[in-house]
Amino acid sequence: MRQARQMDGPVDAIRLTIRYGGDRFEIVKRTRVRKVVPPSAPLLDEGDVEVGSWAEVRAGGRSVYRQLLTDQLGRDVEVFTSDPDRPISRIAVDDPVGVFTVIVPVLDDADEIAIVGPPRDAPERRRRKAADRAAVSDLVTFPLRGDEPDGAAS
Amino acid sequence: MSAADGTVIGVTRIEDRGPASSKWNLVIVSEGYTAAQLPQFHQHCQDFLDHLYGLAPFDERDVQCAINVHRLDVASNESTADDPAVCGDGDIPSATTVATYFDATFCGNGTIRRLLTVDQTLVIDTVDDHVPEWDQILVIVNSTLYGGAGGTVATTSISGTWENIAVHELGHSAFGLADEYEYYAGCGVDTDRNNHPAGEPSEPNVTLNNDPNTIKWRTLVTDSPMRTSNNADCSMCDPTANPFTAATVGAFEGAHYYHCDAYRPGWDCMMRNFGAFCGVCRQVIRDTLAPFNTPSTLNLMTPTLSFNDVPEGVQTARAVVFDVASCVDETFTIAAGPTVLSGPAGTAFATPLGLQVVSAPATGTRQARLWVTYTGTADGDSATGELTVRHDRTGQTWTIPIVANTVRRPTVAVVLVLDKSGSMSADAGDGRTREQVLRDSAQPFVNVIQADNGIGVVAFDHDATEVMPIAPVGDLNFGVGRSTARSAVANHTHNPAGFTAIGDGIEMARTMLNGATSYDHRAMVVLTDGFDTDHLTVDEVAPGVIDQRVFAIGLGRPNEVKATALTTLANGTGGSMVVTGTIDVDDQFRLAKYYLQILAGVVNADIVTDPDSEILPGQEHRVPIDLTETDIDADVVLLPALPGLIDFALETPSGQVITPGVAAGSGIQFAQAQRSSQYRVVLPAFVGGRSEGPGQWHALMRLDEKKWDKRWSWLREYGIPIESFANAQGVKYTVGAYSFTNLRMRATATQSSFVPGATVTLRAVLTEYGIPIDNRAAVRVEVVRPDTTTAVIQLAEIEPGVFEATSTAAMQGVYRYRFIGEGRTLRWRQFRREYLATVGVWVGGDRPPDVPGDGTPGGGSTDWCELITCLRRSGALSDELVERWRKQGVDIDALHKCLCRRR
Ligand SMILES: [Zn+2]
Repeated sequence: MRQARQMDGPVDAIRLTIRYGGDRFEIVKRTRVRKVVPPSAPLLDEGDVEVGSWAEVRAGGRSVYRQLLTDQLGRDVEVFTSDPDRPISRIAVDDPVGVFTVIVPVLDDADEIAIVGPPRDAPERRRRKAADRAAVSDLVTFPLRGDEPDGAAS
Repeated sequence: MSAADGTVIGVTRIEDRGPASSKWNLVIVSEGYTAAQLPQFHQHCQDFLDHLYGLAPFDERDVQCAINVHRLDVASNESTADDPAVCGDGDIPSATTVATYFDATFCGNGTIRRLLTVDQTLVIDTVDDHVPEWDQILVIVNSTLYGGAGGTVATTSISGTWENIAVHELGHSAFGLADEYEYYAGCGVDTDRNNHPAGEPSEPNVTLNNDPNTIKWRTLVTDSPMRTSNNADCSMCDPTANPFTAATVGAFEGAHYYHCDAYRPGWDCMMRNFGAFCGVCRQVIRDTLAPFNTPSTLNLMTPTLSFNDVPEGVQTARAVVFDVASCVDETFTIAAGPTVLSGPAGTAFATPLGLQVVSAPATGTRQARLWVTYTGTADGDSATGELTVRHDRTGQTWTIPIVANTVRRPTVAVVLVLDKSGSMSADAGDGRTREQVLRDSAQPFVNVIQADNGIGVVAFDHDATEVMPIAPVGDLNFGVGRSTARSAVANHTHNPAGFTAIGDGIEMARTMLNGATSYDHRAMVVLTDGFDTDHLTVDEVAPGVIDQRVFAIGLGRPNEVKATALTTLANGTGGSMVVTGTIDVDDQFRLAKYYLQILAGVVNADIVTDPDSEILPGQEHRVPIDLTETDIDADVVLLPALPGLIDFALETPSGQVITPGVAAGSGIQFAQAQRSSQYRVVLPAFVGGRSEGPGQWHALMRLDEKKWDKRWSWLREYGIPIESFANAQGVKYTVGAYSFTNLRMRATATQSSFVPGATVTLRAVLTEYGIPIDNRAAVRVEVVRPDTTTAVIQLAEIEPGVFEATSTAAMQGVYRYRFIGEGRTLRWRQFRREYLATVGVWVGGDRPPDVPGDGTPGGGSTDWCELITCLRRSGALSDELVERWRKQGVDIDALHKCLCRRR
């Protein structure tokens, strides 16, 4: 793993609003905004293995910015109750649908953003049994090009 | 159920730590609140923030500095949220359908009732419109049913511990934190959560690796060796209680939905069971928000405090100034001092505003000031000292040296320039001649002026005479200069044959003042009743030539007294011009009060109070005088219309009464003269063994019945009832308090022109120790119009300590403006300041200045003007002849004015 380049102060950034349903992902809104962006999570190189969900900006296939999407892809939901013994629990969702947003810096050499996570073809409780399968993979990739108009769907 | 079901009201930044582009922006959105319920939403926002900012690390300055919070008010047509009749999880819904803006609904995915969802794209679009730089959205749904959902658009209802639910959800979506709990559906419920599968979780707060040397939070581990725990039975949640202290960061088995093989850093955590965030989560939050927090800067701008040339007895304030750029309150405290390191006995540095200043957050750089005062001791003294200031948050300290020196209280040489042209014998309006009014009115000036100043007198008609060279004023009662000046004023008489050459008088005063180099300041007070009818005119002594302050009094109506040129001259030298208008019986002190006001201006004193009244036999009047800690000394001056009848005393704040006899032993000076009585008090005074300082003093006036009867006994001798004699009803008087003070009101009435319709700008500046009096005072102006109607104008505080209003002078004549400033000193003592200003306007006031002839034919004036000027100058008309003509009803001076006035 390696640390991403730190950015000081506001930068040009893109906010992507992505809708998902099952294994389908589509960008429903894409806006440009100038602001400070959250620091990148440590970047993964070939051979680094992590299990989770994240958005990854890539330049020539190499990761340059990564932001975790913990608990955002809707494969199960967290439920809060008034039961003090079980204030938080989780319930699996068979057919996840939803919307999430991710904001990433516009980096000169970046050409692609990938949404990475556990495979979408199986709900959580089935997936665990197939422990030998690849833990995570690209769920979708979108080209990142700086000349697209603001707010255009990709 | 959508955007048609409500209205977006707008966004309010409820935590503002800087520009949105630089900050991490949390937007809290209302859903299911009707317009009438939005105040409840505002309260819920505040409840959430209070909760969040009470939780570590959100209670830390650097974290708070990173976060802006925006509240987006959206009113729904109906309240609460949908709760569909059928949901798959066996809960019993309320079967509610309501019209709300973002269409919030429980059972959002059709199977889980507690899943509270909204139209996320509508939320995002709405927030994009108002806060495009948003980082996290929290939708608060106005329902008391348990529910919520995570994500960058998180939702929560307002049930139970909803604030914790919202914080937990932010942990996931905003900071990428994993759940630290060791079950999925629940302990005792799960059957397939024994051992975590292979594959290191990407989140920073859970791990499969419990090697202290390589664990991903190794830098945050609190103990050596690292504290760990293992779950003895992987088929269930570990039932043991925390054997370590709450703050321990180690590796505890059971995390990320599994009983074994996964480790969490803290026993409890917001991400496990709504406990305090564990040490690792705290650091992740700090690191995530760090780029949004611009570092604060503090710079000391005053490495030395200098009190240069402070007059004797005068308290002067200087501030230790820091430039501060910070998103939070920054507190500076005087940790030591101010201490005197060297200087004569009596040297003291004080802190009038206390030892601490809190500088509140503001956009950009702001200044924090800690005030220190020094009071001048004796001429030539110097002193040094130091103080230490601490910045409370960082503990950084600065030791700042103080240097100070004292100089003599500035003295002023003043020349009274008095008109003695023939027209001074005319009636002033109240039965007295103008010269009598002048004598009565200038007398108090001479009586009251302070001992170490200088005074001289010039009289002028068409030529100027040095009646009295500038001499030290001297003692309050018996000073030689004062006595000489009293005589000069008392003996001032008109020259029946005299024309008017105001410029000559000014020129002579100027020459005298130029020679008075032993005084710090120089000023002249010019009184005239008319137009120049001879050279030099006012216009011929340009303001640039006169290097002393000129105060001018026009005795008469503005069109009679050359108000235009005198105003220009006075204003150009830093003085002022007043026009009396016609003096009437009810206002006989007007000119005397102008003289005393000018005296106050000349010697840099302020008027505390200045009322007129009439006292009847047997009555006692108490006039309050508010003196404050800012006042160094005060003159309380009584001007009675009839001398010798009013008993005049002073009452101290503690109720002791000072009479002329008591004053002698108390250090308070009393002086009585023909036209005035006066107490001079240096604060604090010592009376009856007590210190009498700031507070409410009173001037006491009593009209003794016996004296009164005696005064009018001659009336009885003639069988006339006293009541029938207008002047015998009582004694009119005015009592004024003039203070040499650190609390000053500078007032001006500036006219846009000299013709009716002129705009008059009324402006007053209030300062205390030179610092603007910010939001502690009000200034009003009582206006008396030429037709004697009155009005009160409230001035607006247009910037700290600066009060302004405009008015129109619509009528021909004199407008009198009495400024009254009232408020609280820094020590919250009541103060009052007064100032009288006048503005004169008349038809023709905009015409160019009149120029008298130069005595040669064709010199520019009418032939008649030329003729009379020539006759006077050549001596062809002797003084004797002129006086004889006057007695027979021909006033040559008036005639000359008539002929020469207009070109
Ligand atoms: Zn959670």
